[in-house]
Amino acid sequence: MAFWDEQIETLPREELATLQLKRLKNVIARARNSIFYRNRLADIDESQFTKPEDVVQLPFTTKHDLRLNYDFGLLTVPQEEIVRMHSSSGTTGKATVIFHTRRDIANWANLVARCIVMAGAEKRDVFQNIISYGMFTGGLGLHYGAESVGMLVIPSGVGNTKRQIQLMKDFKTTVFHATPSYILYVSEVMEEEGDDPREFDLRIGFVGAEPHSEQTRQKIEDIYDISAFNSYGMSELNGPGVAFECEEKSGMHFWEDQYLLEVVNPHTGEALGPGEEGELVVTTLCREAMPIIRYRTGDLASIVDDGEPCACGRAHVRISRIKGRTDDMLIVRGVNLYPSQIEDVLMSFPEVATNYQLYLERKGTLDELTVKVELYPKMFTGDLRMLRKLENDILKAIQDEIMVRPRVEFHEPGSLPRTEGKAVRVVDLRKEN
Amino acid sequence: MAKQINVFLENRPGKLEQITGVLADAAVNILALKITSDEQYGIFQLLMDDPERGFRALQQAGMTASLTDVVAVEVQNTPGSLHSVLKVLREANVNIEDCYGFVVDTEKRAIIVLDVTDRATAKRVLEEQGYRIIGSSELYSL
Repeated sequence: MAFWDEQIETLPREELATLQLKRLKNVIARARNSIFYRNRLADIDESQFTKPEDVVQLPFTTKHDLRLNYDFGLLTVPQEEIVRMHSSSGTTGKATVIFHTRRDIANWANLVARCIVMAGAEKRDVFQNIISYGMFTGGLGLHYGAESVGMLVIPSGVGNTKRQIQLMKDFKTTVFHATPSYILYVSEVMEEEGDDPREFDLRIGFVGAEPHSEQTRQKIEDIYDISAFNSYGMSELNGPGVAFECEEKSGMHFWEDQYLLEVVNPHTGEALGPGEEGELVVTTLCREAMPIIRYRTGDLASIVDDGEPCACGRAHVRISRIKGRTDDMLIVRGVNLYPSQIEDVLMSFPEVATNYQLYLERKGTLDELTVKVELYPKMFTGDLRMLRKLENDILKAIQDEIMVRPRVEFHEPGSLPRTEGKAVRVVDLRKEN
Repeated sequence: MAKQINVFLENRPGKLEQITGVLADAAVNILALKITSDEQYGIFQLLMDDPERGFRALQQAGMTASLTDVVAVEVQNTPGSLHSVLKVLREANVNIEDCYGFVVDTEKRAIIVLDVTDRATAKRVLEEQGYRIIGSSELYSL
């Protein structure tokens, strides 16, 4: 079992809490250097705080706050001290910007290095970073972390799939970082080109930037014969490196020395206990340029509650997979559902390929959900009855999961729109009234 | 046995043409074809003079295709021929999933293409009754 920073990763929980409290007080004081938090935290007396949980006395910060205070409203240092800016991918609404000092960047690289080593990758690995660079944090975030570990980094970015495959061959890539939808697409291209994805030198995959299901992970692991690790992060919290799986793969260790985690009821804001699913709320404990306090991430997950510490020896809590976002929850015929629920079902059918799309329309007063899936060519028998049966089986399995009867449509492989960054999985054509 | 190519296609204008375009470019000749479709998708089934080549060309074009065995029986192009074939199969309790046919030449021969649950039995009982089952190489040189 390898550690990047064993002392901090295995710090006993009481010591972790002491460290968190100290850092929380510091970050509140630092945040007051910004225009935004000077007002927001005016009535707070953090000197009275006795435990990290006292963070609940602070107000939430939302994405809306970040937008309203665009551009420098949350900055706590003179502009000359900042060395980098990043921007959220703007998945939902207008982009937000985040600034970093030199020390922030070093700290972030260090966190990502922890994740990389935790997953079993090491200095001698060849790392192909198959993800967008630029303003998106996934590229540079993993890049700096992997360089810290000392791996050979191939900053191949996303796209130009045949070249990606050639790079893997020529430089014997052993570790990659990619979104689940793109890396599955890469395997399809390998197969079209007559290459067996299992024959490459790949051994570890970091999969992130899109919520995905356990089935999708297993599919990636099977297709490539690798071990795939789930990654959690968002640009507001630096980017990747917030939480990551260890080799036990029973949740993602959330780096509590750097981030204070809460899980709240997304409607009421009330604190939820371990095992209860809710919205992740996070306070950056160490960021200098732009601390964020009690940030409403919009990501839905729970703290893993299996009653014992992780077998890997790390003391930091584990979070579940991201189940969805507070803002991508769909209400169909009055039923709340998340696209990930449908993805789980689809990925359990080997006959369908990896790309899918959900279409929502309103017919009269009734919502109609159409699940568009691509057929997996290798599983096509040429039999129309088999297709009808498959359609019916998928329909029933989805209905059992979400309590809404969808329409299932089969499409040819490669015919559904596929974006190389984040896949557009939901098309909602219902008119807002 | 004869090989049939099955291609999955969405039920939209231009989809069939896309397939025939690939086959034309691969210089594969179509001997017979059949389409089964419903509202949203269908399956295009084809007999070709070079099914392996046609199949590869379709795969390379990214299409969802499969290659399956079918029973091709030679009959006289006269009234009652198909009926006689079906009678033999019914007596052997062979169920027919799919059936189509085509006339091959001016000598009044026709080929009946059968997709059945039990191909071996179908082939045996038909041959016992004096029917000729056309193998792939012969079929493709028609």
